[in-house]
Amino acid sequence: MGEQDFLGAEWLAAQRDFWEHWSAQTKASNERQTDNPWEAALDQWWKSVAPAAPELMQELLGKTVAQAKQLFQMAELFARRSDDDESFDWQTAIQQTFGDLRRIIAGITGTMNPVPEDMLSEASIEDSVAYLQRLFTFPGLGLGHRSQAQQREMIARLIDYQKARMDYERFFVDLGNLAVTRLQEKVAEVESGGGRIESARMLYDLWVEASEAVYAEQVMTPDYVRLYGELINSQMAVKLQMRTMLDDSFTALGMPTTRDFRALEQRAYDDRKAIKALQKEMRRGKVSVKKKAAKKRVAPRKRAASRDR
Amino acid sequence: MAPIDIKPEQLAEEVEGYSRKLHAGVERLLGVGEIEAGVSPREVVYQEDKLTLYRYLPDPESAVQNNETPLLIVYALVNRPYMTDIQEDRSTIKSLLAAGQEVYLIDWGYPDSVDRLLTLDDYVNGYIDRCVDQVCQRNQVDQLNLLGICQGGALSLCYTALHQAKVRNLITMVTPVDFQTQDNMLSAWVQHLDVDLLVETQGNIPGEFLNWTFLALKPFTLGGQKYVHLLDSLDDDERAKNFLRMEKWIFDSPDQAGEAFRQFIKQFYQQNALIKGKVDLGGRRVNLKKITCPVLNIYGEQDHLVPPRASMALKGRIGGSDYTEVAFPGGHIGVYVSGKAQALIPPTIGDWLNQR
Repeated sequence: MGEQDFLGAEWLAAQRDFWEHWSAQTKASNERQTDNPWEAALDQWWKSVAPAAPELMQELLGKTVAQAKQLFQMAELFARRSDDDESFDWQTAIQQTFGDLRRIIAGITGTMNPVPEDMLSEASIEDSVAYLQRLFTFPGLGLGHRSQAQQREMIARLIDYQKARMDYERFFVDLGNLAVTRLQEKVAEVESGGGRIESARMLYDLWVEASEAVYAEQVMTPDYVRLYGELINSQMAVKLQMRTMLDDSFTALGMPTTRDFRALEQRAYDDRKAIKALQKEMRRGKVSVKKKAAKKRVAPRKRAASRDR
Repeated sequence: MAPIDIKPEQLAEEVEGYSRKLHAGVERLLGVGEIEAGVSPREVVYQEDKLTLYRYLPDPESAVQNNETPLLIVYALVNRPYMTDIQEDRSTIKSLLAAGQEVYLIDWGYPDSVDRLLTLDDYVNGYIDRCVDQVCQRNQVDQLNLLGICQGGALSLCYTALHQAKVRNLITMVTPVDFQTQDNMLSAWVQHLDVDLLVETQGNIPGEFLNWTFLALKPFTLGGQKYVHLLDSLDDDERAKNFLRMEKWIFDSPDQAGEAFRQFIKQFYQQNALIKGKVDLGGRRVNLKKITCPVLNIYGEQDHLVPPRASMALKGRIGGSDYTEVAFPGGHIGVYVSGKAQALIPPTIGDWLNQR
């Protein structure tokens, strides 16, 4: 038996044990358990399998494992009650489980931000603003006028970006509330049709349907279009300023800058265009020579033919 | 009784069942091996910078009479063209060969910083035009048939409008023409975008940005539910491999040459200039009325990337009278890869071309 089989069987056994215990306990108690061995076992198993997998597979299975965790975590909240518990408030449970759409989407897409954020995380923005503001409190630090103006500009841009991010994330908080309401409506529809939701998967699929519908409506609104634009524009403004400042430092150190690279790219592009134009001329020339040669070959034949007549 | 009634025992069973599937699925996926990009045999007939022009080799045992006019496929600059040849039983290219077409395809490759300044003029009047000349020269013809896919369809419309004499028939597949229909999510999102600032800052546009954007069109389905449902479809090696092929394609997004991206977003999406006859490529105006050849326009009825109305806008906007529309009951990707599409689209294209 290979290592993977061994780990797989161990993991399954651990899960079985957990669920048996858990199932017995939920009958006795309505309180939420704080630790979650099946999730820990899943993580442990995945950590042991992942290194052996190719990159594409690691990414794919990582997402699958993450989604599985999300699916069962949310279902767990609905299952933590005894059969005869009449006080179970499913509407509140839905709010608690699905309310934080911002976190859920971040879990799905890996980030809330359309453009990879690099060093622009919430914490680093806070740190940068605080650092730069502190810097200005020291008199005679040696910052020149240009440098100071750049730093101030940077602070302004960081603050704009931070605001755009907060507004964008707030939109998702509101969206989460709308999605919860839609899900509650869908669950009520199921109920009024005489049906019941009896599996985690069924609940999850209904939630996806509700959220996707609300999302599609909301992200087409002028509000979202503005927030999305402002988020990217303000992030680009920060990056551009960052680059300008770095370029200035690199120039002072005699190191190549973005400006230098861009100039080289422009030169390469112009050269390539010139070469292509020359190649086109050469092709035309070749065609023209071929045509002339063909004419020459035809002409003597014509003359010979007219002589024969 | 609450409408949500998930019993702990049931949930335990569900988790265990899912875990078993996950375990079996991982073993199956790990055993799949290398995922190839494209399945049909082909030869390189021309290369220029990052571009490669391929000719697909017909089945030597096929008795089908070839159309004498070659067919050149112009794929989008986003994503990779092997979607058209993704697997043995789901290959648009293979089906086009079987329908008697001599198939060529432009693979744009992966642009890097040297390509940052490439413009749409370079792509349309440069690369596509030179590929057209190469194909015509090889086949000793003056005209070819052009098949543009998605953004490649928009580029093909531009090319045909500017070089009508070289195009005998034009086919557009899932191609946006009106970029500002009310149901176009992508279009809505870019209206407030400062694309000059984006390109100035990023240079080339990262493929990751495009991936995020496409997934964000349906984040719950494409980013979450798909993976939850994945394990249900991993019951044999071939299905596992097919899933991986598709997954590889989805995330195989080349960076976009910055200048071309800037022009495409501004002119096509923000100004909707294609249907207004105001697209400017290297100082030449693109007027769709200059397209006088027969046009076959294929769109997906459930396309969430290029809504049907965005494609259908072509009707009445070209100069010629021979215009045919085919509505396919599927989405943007299904139009090349679904079993239904394989049975419908390539034979329709083949018949339509062979009649012209």
